[in-house]
Parts: sequence; C-alpha cells; structure tokens
Amino acid sequence: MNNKKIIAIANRGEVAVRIHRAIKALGYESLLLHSKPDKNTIAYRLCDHTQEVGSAPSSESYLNIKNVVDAAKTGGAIALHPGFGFLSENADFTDACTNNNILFIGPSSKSQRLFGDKISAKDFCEKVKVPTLPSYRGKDKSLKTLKVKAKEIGYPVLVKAAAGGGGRGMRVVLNEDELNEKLEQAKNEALKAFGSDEIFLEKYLETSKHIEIQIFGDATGHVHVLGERECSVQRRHQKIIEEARSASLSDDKRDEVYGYARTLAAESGYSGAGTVEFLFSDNKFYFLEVNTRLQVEHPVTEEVFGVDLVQAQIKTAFNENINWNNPKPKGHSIECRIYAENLKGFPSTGELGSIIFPQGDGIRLEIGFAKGDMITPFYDSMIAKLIVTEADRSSAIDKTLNTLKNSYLTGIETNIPLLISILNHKDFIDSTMTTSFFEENYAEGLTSPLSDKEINAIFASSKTNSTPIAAFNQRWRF
Amino acid sequence: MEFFETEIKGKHYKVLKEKVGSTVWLSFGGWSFKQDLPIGKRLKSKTSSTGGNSKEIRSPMPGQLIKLNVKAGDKIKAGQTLAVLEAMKMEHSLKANIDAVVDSVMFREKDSLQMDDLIIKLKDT
Repeated sequence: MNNKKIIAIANRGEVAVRIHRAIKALGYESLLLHSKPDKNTIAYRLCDHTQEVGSAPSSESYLNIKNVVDAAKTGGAIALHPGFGFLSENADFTDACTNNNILFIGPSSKSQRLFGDKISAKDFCEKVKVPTLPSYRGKDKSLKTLKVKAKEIGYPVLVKAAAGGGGRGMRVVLNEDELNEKLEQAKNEALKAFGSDEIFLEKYLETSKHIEIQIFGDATGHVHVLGERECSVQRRHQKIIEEARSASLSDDKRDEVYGYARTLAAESGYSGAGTVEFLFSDNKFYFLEVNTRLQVEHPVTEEVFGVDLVQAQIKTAFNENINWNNPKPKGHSIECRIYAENLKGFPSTGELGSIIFPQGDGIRLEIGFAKGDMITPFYDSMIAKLIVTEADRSSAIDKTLNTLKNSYLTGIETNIPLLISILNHKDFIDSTMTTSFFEENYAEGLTSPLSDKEINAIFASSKTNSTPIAAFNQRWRF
Repeated sequence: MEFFETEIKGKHYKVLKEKVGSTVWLSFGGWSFKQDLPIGKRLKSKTSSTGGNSKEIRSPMPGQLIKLNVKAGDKIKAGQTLAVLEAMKMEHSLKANIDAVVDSVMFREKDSLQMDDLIIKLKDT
C-alpha cells in the first residue's frame, strides 16, 4: 500500500504540469485525471499516478463530475486541485468532492456560488458599495424585454452568461439588429462551457483597461492583496498578454482598487486564491467579476511578489499557515499566451514538432506539450505561456521580444508573430492600450511577411546552403 | 531536423527545417511556415476563410459543424449566417458575402471538418 498522500489534478496541459510541481514541492504525490487522448502530454509523463476520466470531448471527461470524482477516489486522492476552466468554479463539483472525502483545493462552494453567478456577484457588490456598471439582471429574458433594456442601458451592450468566466459565453452587441444572433451565440457557448444558458446584459465600455487584483484568504482568515495585473490585450475577451503590475495606475488609484478587492474578499469570508476583475475607464473602476480560482496569468504575480500561489492554495486547503509577511512587489513581469492558431486566428491542430525556446534568468516557460504530442481540436488552443521578468517594464518587453524572436516551433502554427507585433506596438509600449486595442489593430489577423514564392525559395535554399547544427547547442542560444 | 543560415529580405536568419508527419516546416524569427499545400490551394484557402466573393464556403479551421442554417435551394442574402463551426471551444459563424442560392451542402450537423473542407456551394440567384 502507498502511504504517501496523493493530490489529484483535475486538469490538463501546462497548468497540470504547474500544479504537479507544487504538489511535489510540498512532499505529496500527484495523480493526473486525464482524458483518453491526453496520454500524449507532459503532465501524463510527469505525474506519479494517472487515472483516465473519459474520452476526448470535455463533456465526457474533464467536465463530467461523476467521472472525475470516481477517478480521484479510485486513485486514492485525499485532495484535488481543479486548475482553471473545466470544473474549477463549479460549486456542485466542489460539494461532490467534499461529500466523497476529497479536500477541494480552492474557496468554499458558498464563495463559488456567490461569485460564480455574475448576477448575485453584482448584487453583493452593490451591498458592500463596490462600483459596478449599469446592467439588466431581471428575470424576464424574452427578446422583447431584452431589446427594451438594452436600449435603456445604451449600445454597445455586453451579453454575458450568468455562469460565465474566462471569456466564454460573452458577446458584444453593437446594435439592436445583432441582439438576437449574439444572444444565441452567447447562450450556446455558455451552455457548453458551464451547463447553464442564463444570461444578463451589461453596459459595454469600449475604451477601458482591464485591471485585476490578486486576493488570497489564508487559513487564519487574513486577506492578502498581491497587487494588480493589467490584461487589456484581449481578443473576444480572451486574454493574450498580461503583466504585473499595471503601468497605468497611480498609487492612489492602486489603494482605491485594492480596497474594493479587500472588501469583497473580507465581507464574503473568502479563502484561498481569487481574482477580482475591474474595468478602469476615465480614472474610475467598475467591478467585472470575481474568479474563484487560480488564474491563467498567476505567474506574473508570483514573479513580482516572490510567492508560490499554488503551494499557498494547497497549504491553505490543509489549514496550514502560509506565513507571508506582507510581500512587496519587485520588478516587472509579462506573460504571453502562446496559442495554436494561424495568422488569421483560426485554430491550428496537429502533431507538434520541435519546440525550442531560449532559457535563462527571468525566463519561465509553462508548457504542457512536447515534440510528438498532438494538439487536438477538443480543448482550448493555449499550449504554453512565456513569462518574462525584468527590473522594469521596458527591459521586460525587450527580453520578451528577444525570447520570442529566437524561438523555433514546428508542426503547428502559433500566435508568436502576433505577440511580437503587439509587443512592438506603440500603444503597448506606452501602456495606453485598452480592451479594444486588439480589435482596432488586429481584427483581420496578420498577413504573412513573405509571399508563397518567397517561402518556397527559403525551402529551396536549404538544399544548397544547409549546415546541420546539433539542436542541443541551440537550446542555450539567446 | 536541420538548421541553416540564410538571408531573408536582407536580414540574416537561422532557420529550422523539420519534417513533421508528412509536412515539411520552416521556423525562424518566431514564425512557423509549412510547405504541404500547392500554391494554388494555399491562395484559395486565404480567401475562403474571410468569405470574399467566394461561392464556395469552406472550413477555415479543423473542427465540428455545430449548426447548419441552410439547405439546397435556399435563397440567401449577403451577411446571412450559413453555418456555425466550433473548435477549441470557440464558435465561428460562416457568413455569405453575396446574395445567392444554395447549390449544395456537403456536410451534416455534428460532422467533423478538416481545414479547407468545402461545406456549402452557392450559385447565382
């Protein structure tokens, strides 16, 4: 029999690898709960134990509460880390874990229900005097009523899934003609992603910055506020580049927004890691949502504050103290999400070839796949994250650019050229970008810098002008 | 896998050339290019993904056909959503760029699609 304490990971890709690392650092063993095709991933190869939870579609594996809980029990897990996405903010799942004596690593199902329902979250904000955007959250969701309410709020409005998060189930509606179609799209996407198609309407701010605050409720009940991240570079509400901290906030504004985040966490008795998202426009903050989980972009906060959020989550779940002594920010950190997609932003799937990135101080690559692994159309297209940390923002941008430009990747196309273009954009460099930045500049995607003829010429040139160099040496080139 | 050095548009690059499956890839400067499609098809796929004036509605990505709004013989208007695809959890609407009549529909709802698959053929009204 195994006397080791086992923690299950109910996720995949790079975050499963990240959680595995924290589990091992604290002396536990890891159990990966994976779908059938995800045997071909780094997490499957690294984790101490593995259990299959079902076939490729998420609804039959990662989103199936019974399958996940059963697999965790079969694998002997005493606790479970849900990562992000999938069941990470699903209160029914959290309760199912608890009822099966599996410690859920994350906030209580009470917190998940309060903030997971974006409607009750906004109600709560109004109660504790945290500013929100005009919205319609009434029960009558007929098209006729929604048309009237959207007009009252004033276009553009955002159709938002009550159960939403991570950009899913949201659509911007510019005028009444679009309302019905966008409504259906948001509802469909929400039903698939969250199992509920309840929606509400909210004013859409065209020129705002996305500012989010990392909160952490420790085992003693103390709420830590670990600064802000700016994530204004978004496409269809999916973040692309995130940084800590924002280059656009004064210390007064920081104090103000940290206060809102602290109030929400403290008044709701929040435990563990969470993120309070705000829009920042005309020097005012508006509450967006609380994400009751680890965020994709947590590494930039870890780098700047010198903490390990996943280890802290695990310790807190086991009611152990994290002993943070008011961590202070140092330097600047930028995260680039690397998506498997072509220049026009459409998914690129297939077998991965080589993945070669420069390495060294301040370069952190979180990746879930290696050469020979398949990138399938079943899951999110994010295959890796590059997190670069430097003394100040401008050096962090330069170093990120150098790292991306000196990377090599084959087998699929990625958004690396897009990331390079954004990092070179004046609005990004000046930190004046808003959440409309992407649509304004990259709505049509990128065009190839080379014609087909020129690409073919390079292919041809290798035959006459090739010097094979051992790949090993190149990994260290910067 | 091989690396070679070359000039591209007057700039010096070290280029990775690698065969993955049956496709040969190049990677340099953060870019990844594949050489698997004849030039003609490559150009066609570029216009079909954005619509253009194409009478061929093709799949701009591998994924699943989750909604089919038209059948053969239907009259359609420019801007109308003909079908909805899903891949990597994102939905993508395929719209007509011209007024036309649906000539034929090659797939059914729930079918899996490869990149560039011909889904709907249109003809003049």
